Amino acid sequence: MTAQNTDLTNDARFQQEMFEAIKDERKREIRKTLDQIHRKNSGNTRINIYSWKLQAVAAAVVILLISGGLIGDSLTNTPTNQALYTEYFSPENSLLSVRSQEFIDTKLKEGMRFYEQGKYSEAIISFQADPNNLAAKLYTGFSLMKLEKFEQAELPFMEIIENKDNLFIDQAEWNLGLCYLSGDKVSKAEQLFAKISTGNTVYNKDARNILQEMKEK
Amino acid sequence: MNRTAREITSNKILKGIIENDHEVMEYIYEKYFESIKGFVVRHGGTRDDAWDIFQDGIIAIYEQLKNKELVLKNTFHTYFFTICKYTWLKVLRDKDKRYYEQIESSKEIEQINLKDYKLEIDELIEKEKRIKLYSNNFSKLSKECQKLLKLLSLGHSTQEIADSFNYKSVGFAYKKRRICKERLVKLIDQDVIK
Repeated sequence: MTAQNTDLTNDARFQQEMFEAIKDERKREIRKTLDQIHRKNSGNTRINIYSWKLQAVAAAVVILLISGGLIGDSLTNTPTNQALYTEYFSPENSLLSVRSQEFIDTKLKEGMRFYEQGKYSEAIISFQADPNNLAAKLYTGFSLMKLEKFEQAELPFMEIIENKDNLFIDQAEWNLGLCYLSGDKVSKAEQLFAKISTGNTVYNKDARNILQEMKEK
Repeated sequence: MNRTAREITSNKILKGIIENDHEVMEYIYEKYFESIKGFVVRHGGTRDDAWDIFQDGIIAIYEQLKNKELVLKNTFHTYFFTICKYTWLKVLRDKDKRYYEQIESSKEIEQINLKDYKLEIDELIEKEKRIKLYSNNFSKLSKECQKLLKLLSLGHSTQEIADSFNYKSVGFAYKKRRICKERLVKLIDQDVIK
């Protein structure tokens, strides 16, 4: 097979699988069913809004974002606060910028290890052992968000913002907004996103988009 | 359904998966989730990992059923466990190679019956990996692009798409279609590079 044919085959497969991913409503329904059953049996009454660790192999488990209703419902329904939160919550992006710092603190490293393993409660304990470290605070907030303790997550983000002179303010503001949104504190979320949308950070476009989507609700 | 009092045959389970039958799903969950969780947690994972693996296992089977590719060489029980355990081992191998090597020769791992299924499970996992990549990035597109690509995936013509969006011309719909696809490909590329 020539290189060109291989490319064409790959393109065709890409298109076929991409379309498959987009249109498979039944798969979305199966995930919803499983999620309901899991929540009922694990005594967890909250909505499970996380897809699996995006970076794991199983970067594979499909379409939780879809199963959260973002695709199927996008044609007919307006998004819920939870759906918007799911769409925009992405601490993995922050991870990159945080990792670029030199971390020598053992507790912080330990916390990051727990965080990456999905052991968020253990991560919080490690992060909190270093109360003055702003990166640890940021990840305390992310861990609490992962545990869906949105109200508790507000505090570390607020502390970062109040500290003023640090690298994490943009991320803290954005995620604080998402915590408000997920906790249905819509007007606080709107105010914060409005501020972010006029600022000069990487989140201003997202903030504009999310505000627009909130208006469409 | 009194789930503990009755067993469901492998064929009924498969039918239940393809039909998304709530009772069958509940049966599978009650019968298998704890064991899969036990395996994952014993081998370096968390409860959340186990839940992801469990869901992936069901989706993998659904995928094969949908494509009429599944011929069970054993019971559902054996097949499902094989998929879930194998998927977790693949995750582990990528995530923590040293730990994986430590446990690789353990009796429990050796007992996983892969010989009948290894190739197809590998293909399945790889395909699901790609599909998840597309899906996750698809959801990052604008609503307009999502809707447009969805219509396209459902077989609508570019003319129909132009009508649906009130585009001024079919040519413009083609252009939007190309832009949306390119955006998706770019997002996927960026994700892969990460």
